[in-house]
Amino acid sequence: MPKITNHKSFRFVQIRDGISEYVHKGNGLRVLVYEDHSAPVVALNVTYLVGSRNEAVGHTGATHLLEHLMFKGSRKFNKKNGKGIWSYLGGTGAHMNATTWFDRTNYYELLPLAHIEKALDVESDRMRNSFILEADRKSEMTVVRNEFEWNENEPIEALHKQVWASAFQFHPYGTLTIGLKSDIENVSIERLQEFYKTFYWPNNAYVTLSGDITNKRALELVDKYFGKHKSAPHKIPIMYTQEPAQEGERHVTVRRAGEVGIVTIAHKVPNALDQDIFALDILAGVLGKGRSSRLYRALADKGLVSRASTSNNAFHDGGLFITDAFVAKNVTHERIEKIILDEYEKIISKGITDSELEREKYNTEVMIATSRDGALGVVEVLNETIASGDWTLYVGYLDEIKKVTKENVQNMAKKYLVNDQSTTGYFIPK
Amino acid sequence: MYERIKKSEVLPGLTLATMRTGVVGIVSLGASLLAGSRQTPNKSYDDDLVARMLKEGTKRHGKSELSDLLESNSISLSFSGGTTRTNVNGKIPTKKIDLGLELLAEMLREPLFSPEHLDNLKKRVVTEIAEQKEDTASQAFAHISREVYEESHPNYSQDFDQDIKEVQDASGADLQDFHAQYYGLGSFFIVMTGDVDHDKIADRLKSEFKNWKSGQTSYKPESGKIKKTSSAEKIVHMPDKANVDLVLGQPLYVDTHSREYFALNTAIEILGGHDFSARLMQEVREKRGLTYGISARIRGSYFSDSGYMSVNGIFAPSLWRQGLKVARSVLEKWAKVGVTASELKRRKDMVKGEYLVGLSNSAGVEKALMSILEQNRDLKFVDEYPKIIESLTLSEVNASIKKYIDPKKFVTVASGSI
Repeated sequence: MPKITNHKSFRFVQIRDGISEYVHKGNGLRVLVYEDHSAPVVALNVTYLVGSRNEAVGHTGATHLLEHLMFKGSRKFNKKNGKGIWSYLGGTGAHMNATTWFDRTNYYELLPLAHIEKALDVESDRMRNSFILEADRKSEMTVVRNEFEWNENEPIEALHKQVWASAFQFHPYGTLTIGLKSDIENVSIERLQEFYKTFYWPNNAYVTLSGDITNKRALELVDKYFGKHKSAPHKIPIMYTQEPAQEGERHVTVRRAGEVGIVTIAHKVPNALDQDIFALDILAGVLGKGRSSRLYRALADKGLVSRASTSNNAFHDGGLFITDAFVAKNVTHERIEKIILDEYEKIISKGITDSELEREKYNTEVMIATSRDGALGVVEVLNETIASGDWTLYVGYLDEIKKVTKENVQNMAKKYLVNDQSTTGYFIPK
Repeated sequence: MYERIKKSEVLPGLTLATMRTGVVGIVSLGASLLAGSRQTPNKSYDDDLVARMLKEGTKRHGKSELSDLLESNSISLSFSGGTTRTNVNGKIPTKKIDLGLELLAEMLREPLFSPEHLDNLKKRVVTEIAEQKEDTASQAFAHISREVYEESHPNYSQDFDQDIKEVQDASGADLQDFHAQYYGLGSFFIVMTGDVDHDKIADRLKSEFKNWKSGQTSYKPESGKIKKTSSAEKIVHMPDKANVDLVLGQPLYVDTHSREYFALNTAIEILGGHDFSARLMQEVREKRGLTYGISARIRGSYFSDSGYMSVNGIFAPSLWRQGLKVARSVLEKWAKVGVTASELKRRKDMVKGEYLVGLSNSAGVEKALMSILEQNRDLKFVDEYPKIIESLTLSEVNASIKKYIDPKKFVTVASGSI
């Protein structure tokens, strides 16, 4: 595709692996464009750099509740004028929704090319002209509370809430994005409006377009719909709370009616842009991804658990390296915990094999190729890397993974899988 | 789109359909064999256990060796049994297609059936069933199936404890018999989409599956064993649950190849499709804030069986009764008055867009093509579907509601801490 470097409204930043980055000269909005003309559809995603990490006690869950209210109406798109957001865009056959997580909130649409301007128009109006009304908060609060209740029904969700809360006792990651029930019920509309006024600005957002659209057309349309907005008149607040160093292992237990026990073992890891993350990702794969992983063989293959998996959950400010195991009847939690820790210890003392390293590297390569299957996959991955602090993590990730050695992986296991940094959770059915 | 699809009878009883999409280096794979639990009604887990034993080693590669071979080449293949068919879903890197198809054939044709591996698999499956037992949605749908189907119906869900017993009692000999009887060429479909070369794949499949034994070629759809229901109510009491799952169901039989099916399905989408503008979402969630989600659909009719129309939503324990009342009133008004011309027009416009969106990646295309083959339709259906919906008239759509739906016959199941 032709590289556009001299657009009247956009400053060209870089092009990496087919993804072009621009910044709007007028308002600081960052724009990413990836052309894929294989199907006549376009994916649009708007990422706001605000998530539950920007909350505190009293208004936990507010970012997510606000995300719900952002569908309730804006100056141009509301039920009164017959252009409610869901009906206006839904009528095009769009696949659309929004999500909130620790570090970001995003709104996305995958829709036929012919309707892309409708989606841009909605997102532009949503950015600066949403209503955020008390009447809508009242009706939507119970919807979000039901989402909370629905999550609560899942034993693994209930356990993870306690594990994160114990691991992060001061940093907002200690409260999962859904928030506390009492905060969902009582947060004021003024607080939500303040959140909106503080964070929903072009210079705190990325617009990503992927699919059957040229760079030229994408910039023209983004300028048309978002160029009119001014940048924030204030500095976007920095979230500065850091979790104090953990000085010893922690344990949590959830006892509820149920059938299946769960063991979760979590260790603190650094932020998503730290160089250690790549070897930790490989380590997670070796331990708990797939049937050839060490934990599957040590636990599931022997019928001790129905499944076991490990994931490295690194975010903007750090995260947790987590193994979950669903315990078979007549097997104790303690036995499962010991086997998991023994497997950790084997890697700490002996490292991983050449074939394990190569397997994880190749699987990463294929996973990245798969993410480009369709317009939505690209914007989904970019959304997460934007939230981590650097979208180019997506295009540079594979190169970094390829550099990882067996020694790196062993060293990361030694450095991070240590008792002092662990939080172990048991879900015990009663 | 139809002109981009390539289809061939690779061998008698093995149909291959492929379509090249924009992705580079990746192939989405689906395979489907006529081997389901309806063949062994008293051993309803045999089909799934056989499917899952395929990954527990073959006569050429032991379990660990097989897993290593698959995962070191990033070949993902998952096998699952169902009421009528056993399905394979997967992704294969294009440059590993030959190996992927070789392993697929080996796993389907020569499973090891090791008694030790079966014992361990059974323990895992028992734990999974125990998880379903504590899940409000699984309980609600299992109970509604018992309300709408006779026990002999293939879609009837027995008690979870019976499921556990069946799994524990399953014998290696039974599973090998199932495999011997139902796996093979006959009604065997493979769909591959993405970065594919049809002719090369066809050649490979021909060599991998030549001389495979015959499997099943047909089955009898069950169109009679549904119950006569009334607006009865059943509560499934489950302790320590913050959320209630509510399901309303009315048994029905509608020929999935008839225009009436598309008319009824369109009417139900307008009532409770995934779109937030559907009537149930508008009234129960958007207007009254009673639920995070509520929807309606036809279930169980995929293989031309009798099925049921469901309405299901989630509610706080203190709000489910109110939610039920509102959902029933929306259902009753829809059944009595029907849908409007503007709703139908909107739905038609949506289908045109959904068609483009749903078929914009290789996995979406694979699922669409497999669904067409499994339902014995011509692949031209991929392009005909939006045209059929476009051609529906308002009177056809509303007549289908009148013919098939009676709100008084919807039985209610609610599961949770009530």
